[in-house]
Amino acid sequence: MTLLELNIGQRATITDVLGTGPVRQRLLDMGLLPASEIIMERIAPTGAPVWIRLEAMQLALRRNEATSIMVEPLASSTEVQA
Amino acid sequence: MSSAAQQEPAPLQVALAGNPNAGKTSIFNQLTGANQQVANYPGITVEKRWGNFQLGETQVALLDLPGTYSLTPFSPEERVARNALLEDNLDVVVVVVDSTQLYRSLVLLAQMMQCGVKVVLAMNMADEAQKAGQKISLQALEKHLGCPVVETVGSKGQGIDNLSQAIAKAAASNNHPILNLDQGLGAAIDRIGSLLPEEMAKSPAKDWLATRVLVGDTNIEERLKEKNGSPTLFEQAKQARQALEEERGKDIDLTLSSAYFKFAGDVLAKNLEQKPRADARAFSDNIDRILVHKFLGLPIFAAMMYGIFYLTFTLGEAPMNWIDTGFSALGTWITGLWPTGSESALQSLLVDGIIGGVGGVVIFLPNILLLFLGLAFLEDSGYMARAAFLMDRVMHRFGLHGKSFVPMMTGFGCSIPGIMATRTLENERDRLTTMLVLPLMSCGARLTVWMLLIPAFFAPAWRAPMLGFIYAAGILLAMILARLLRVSLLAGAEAPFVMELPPYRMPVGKQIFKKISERAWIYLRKAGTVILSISILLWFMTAYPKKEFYEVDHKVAQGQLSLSAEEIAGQRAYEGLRYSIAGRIGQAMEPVIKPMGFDWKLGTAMIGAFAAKEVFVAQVGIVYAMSDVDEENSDLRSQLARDYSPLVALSLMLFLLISTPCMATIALTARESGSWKWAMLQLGGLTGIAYLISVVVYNVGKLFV
Repeated sequence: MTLLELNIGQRATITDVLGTGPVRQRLLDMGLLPASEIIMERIAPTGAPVWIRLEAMQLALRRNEATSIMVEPLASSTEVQA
Repeated sequence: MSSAAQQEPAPLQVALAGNPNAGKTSIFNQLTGANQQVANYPGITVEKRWGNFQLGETQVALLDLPGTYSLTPFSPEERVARNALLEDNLDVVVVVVDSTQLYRSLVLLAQMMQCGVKVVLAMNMADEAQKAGQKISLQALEKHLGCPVVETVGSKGQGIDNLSQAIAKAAASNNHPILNLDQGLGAAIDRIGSLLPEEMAKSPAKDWLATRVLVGDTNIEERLKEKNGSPTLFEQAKQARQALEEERGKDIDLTLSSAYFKFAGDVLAKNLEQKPRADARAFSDNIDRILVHKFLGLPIFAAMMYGIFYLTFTLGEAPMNWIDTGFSALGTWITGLWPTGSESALQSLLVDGIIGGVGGVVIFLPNILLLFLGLAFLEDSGYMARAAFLMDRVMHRFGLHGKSFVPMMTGFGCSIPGIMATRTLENERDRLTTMLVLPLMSCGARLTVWMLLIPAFFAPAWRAPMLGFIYAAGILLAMILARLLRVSLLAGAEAPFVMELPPYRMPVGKQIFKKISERAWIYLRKAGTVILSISILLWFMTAYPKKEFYEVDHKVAQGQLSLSAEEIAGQRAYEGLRYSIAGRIGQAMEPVIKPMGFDWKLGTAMIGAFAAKEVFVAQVGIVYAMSDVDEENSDLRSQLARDYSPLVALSLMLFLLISTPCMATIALTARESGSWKWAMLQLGGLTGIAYLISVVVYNVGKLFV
């Protein structure tokens, strides 16, 4: 599944980063690499971008970027946010 | 450059590199103080900041490279940084990193090491990292990396002396830290390195160049072809790439990025004595729970924007009146230097041309300062990134960026600060698009025109809807044009949107002051140069050639008319303007502007509107032979209503809304975009579209009226 499909508060491991060119390179430069662990923090009120957490970083990604990141949710990881 | 070097010892060439938001600029300011300059790199929107400082006996020339996450050449910022590293013969590069983001930041250091430059690592925001409980041994880190490491707090000026000493130490040493990537990758890089053309193989950046050849970087391949690289090189690189990809089951970009992050991970694993606490950002995260809340986020943002604009225009009003009074007093004083009856051209030039023209621009300075205070606060606190997060989806639909929202809103006050506020946009295409369509936001100066025209032509019930319509038309057209620009002139692959959301920080007064004063200075300098020259030109066009005899004098002398002195003066001004270059241009333009329903009077007034939109009101006053006109003048309104239909008024308002942004806007677009090409496109494109729309509206409208 893609990062965009994660529920708010869900943790996941990145399995692959699709796409080509500058967009993919930027994702890789930020450390969005296979085996990295991320948390879906929130989605903007208008439905995009999404806000994720990666290590000490917090990042906003547009739908396009979010759908090119394939993830594997970590079991029983949903921490419900207030 | 080289000729200066013969007289005195060449200054040490030092550059600051680092990720965006790492606090590079504050370090730069601490090192150079006031000895610095800012300009754009030629032809692009990337800002170039350089300066110098004294290091013992040595003079240091410091260059602030644009903030980048890596040296891959995809964005203009990255290309600038990379070209500087490969071509500028830098003695030392200071890599400034955010100490709370070491893992990601060390990747750029790894790439710098491959470039073979002498590196100093400045661990900035060290106070925040300490507060979060992070502990790292600087000595161990220095040993591990093979370069000097210092802790700094740029915003407070801490660690700056240590940094200077580290720069001196690095410059004096012969150590180039070497980056060792994993075996397979390292071997492939070495093999390609040995095949590089001689000039490149000798370059300190050999490893970096070989790495880029290995990944198939087209930019480097072009360089190689210029240097007559061996034709087998690309073939060999391709084979090595394919072998690695097959062996590891993943593409080379992924392999390389993973290798850089593995380096970063190893550095931290070996030298981090204590990790930062997991809840180090709790305070900031709690604020975000409210400020970007699902339901509260947008209303809070709207309230904040409203607050900033409200303060800008209410607090700005008093100082604007002072400036206005000051310039009027100056004008009156200069007028008084000539005894009545002996008024000269010089007097008119000084009072009407220079003071009028420049004063009309300087008067917006208080607004600009206040607005920039608000914007600097939003930026430095970290809220701007949240605002972009909230607005991005809407703006992106129209080919803009979430961060375009604030400059566009600012444009309702004045296009000048709006265009300057586009500096918060990092991406060149986003920035150009925003800049080019921004003048369509109906600015404060145009409001004076609407205030004159709308009550003159429309019944009270229709006035508010009409004003709303004009603003809406501007917004709609801006959105459409932005969209069109993104599929035509500014087309191209979408820039990546991976926006960092830094924790909230207390803005530092000194830095805010610096930001505001820098922008205010750019604005004033513009007023003093381009705007001054155009003011003089426009003054000349409306004042010359002078009429020697006025018909009104003749008629009064013959007793055909009996007029008050004021009416005579008004008639003279009318005849004078008609006779002037501007008047003649207006008359000559008549066939061209006729399809929009305009006559020469409106044409002449529009020439003035190019200087500043509100001048239109004064010029219309002159062509209607009224002295002392403002937008409240009801006589002028009834005269206009007599001469033109509401349809012409609509056509006129649309034309003034869309066409010819004022000269200050054009001049600033040229500066901020880095090229007159964009400014001329803005001028020509908007005027062309305005013409088309007005012609269509007028002619279609005629069928119904």
